[in-house]
Amino acid sequence: MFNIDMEGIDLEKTYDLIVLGGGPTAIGCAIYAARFALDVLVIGKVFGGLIATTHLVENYPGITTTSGQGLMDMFKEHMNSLSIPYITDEIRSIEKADDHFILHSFFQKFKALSVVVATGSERKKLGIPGEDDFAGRGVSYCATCDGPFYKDKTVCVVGGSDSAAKEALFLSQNVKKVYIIYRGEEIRAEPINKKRVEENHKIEIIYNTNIVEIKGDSTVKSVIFDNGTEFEVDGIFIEVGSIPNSDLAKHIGVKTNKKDEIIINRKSETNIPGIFAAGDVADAPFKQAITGVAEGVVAAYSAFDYVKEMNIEY
Amino acid sequence: MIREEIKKLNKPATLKIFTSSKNLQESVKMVEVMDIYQKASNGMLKIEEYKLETNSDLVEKYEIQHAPTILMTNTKDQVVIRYLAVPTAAKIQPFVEALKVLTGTPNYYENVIRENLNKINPTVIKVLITDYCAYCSTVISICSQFALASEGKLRTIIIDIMVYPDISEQYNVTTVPSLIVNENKKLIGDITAEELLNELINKTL
Repeated sequence: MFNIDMEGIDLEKTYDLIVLGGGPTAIGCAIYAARFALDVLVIGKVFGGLIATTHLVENYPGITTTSGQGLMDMFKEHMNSLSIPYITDEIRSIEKADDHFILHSFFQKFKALSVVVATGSERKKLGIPGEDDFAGRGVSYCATCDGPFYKDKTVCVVGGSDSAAKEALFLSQNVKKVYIIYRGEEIRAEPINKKRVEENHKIEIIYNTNIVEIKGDSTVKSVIFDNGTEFEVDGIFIEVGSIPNSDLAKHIGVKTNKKDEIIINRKSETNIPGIFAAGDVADAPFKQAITGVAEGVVAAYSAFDYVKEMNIEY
Repeated sequence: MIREEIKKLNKPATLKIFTSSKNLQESVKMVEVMDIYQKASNGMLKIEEYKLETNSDLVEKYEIQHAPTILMTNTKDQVVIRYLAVPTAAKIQPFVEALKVLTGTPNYYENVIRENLNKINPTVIKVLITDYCAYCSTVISICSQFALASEGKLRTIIIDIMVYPDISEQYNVTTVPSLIVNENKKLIGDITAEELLNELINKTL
């Protein structure tokens, strides 16, 4: 039950588990929670999470190739088959009250015996002059969303990760030329994508370079490199990593590491009983959709154990 | 997916669609898709088609400037949501949600919108989207539900800028989703419901 209306939502109820997030980790967690017969509700800011902006997913075991949206469509279908309610909203605070948690959004209030924080991460900015000024006017963080506006134009992708490589590959289908601007000496893409980038005549990598300013008039016209060069481009796609969305959890006392990732154990437990975490918001060393889903599933099992021990009937 | 979603409609609804021979390809596509919705709805959804060229009185009444267009009207026959987009792919779910609320399902934002209605000026929100935009579905949902809760004060227009590239050029849009509010403010990206409401209340628009 994927909804923004109130069908199937009971605000007076204390749910066994509320899962926060809209990506594969949250949905995977909810699917297992439902199968454990937990009364579960999912509340996400945006359905699909970051993976929905990826045009190419080839490393989700069992699926040879699909898009990020395609993957999330499958998750949605699975979720709907179990009638798991999903609400589009953003929880602003969590408070502990006796044997349950109260979750507040701007619009509603919810109650749950346990909570899984699977709020993912958001894209990091460069933090350079012009970046905010030209947001939506040549600066983008989503190639699948905005790539088509740059047909036959010249763009750059900032970053050297696998995501940056995939963004460049996607953009190359439409644009005249893609420059990958990377501060290091070699991009860190998966070997298969690195090879694709190297073989793509529309993509050129500029190494050992940082962008320090974005310039233009009504739209982006150029970027300034740290060696002083002004480089003409029509658009800039920024893919330089992400920041975990852990503030909500931190405010209730959940412990995080120096990178603001929520610290979890092998049961996806945090330091607060009844609060679990999983996925990009947590402190795994290698983050992929499949690893996030795995942590989410473990969190569902741990929440099931936790709720069972409480043995409360509402 | 249309068939799956439209089954959730449990009260009758009527939609007006306006088509035009000047935009024949899109009009034919719109009619075909809405026919699927109608047939799959078990009689719950009725589509009334009007041709732009032969219904000037209705065109004037409903201020139709582009076709094909779908109109969702409230009980006062005010157009609260206007679709300049064919509701396929990621647009299906927010489209059906809106139909459900139009026919009586409680609206998630209703209470808060009603509480703040006297602080909100009459506003037209144009939601510029594309089919492959990951977050457009969520923003369409939010803007549609706001319009439905607002007793006609807020009106939402969903515009597929791949069909209407002139509109994206008019507003210098190079990212989706983009909201154009009362023709003078642009909000970009995956704006949340709270952020949009704060913009409306703070009269920055």
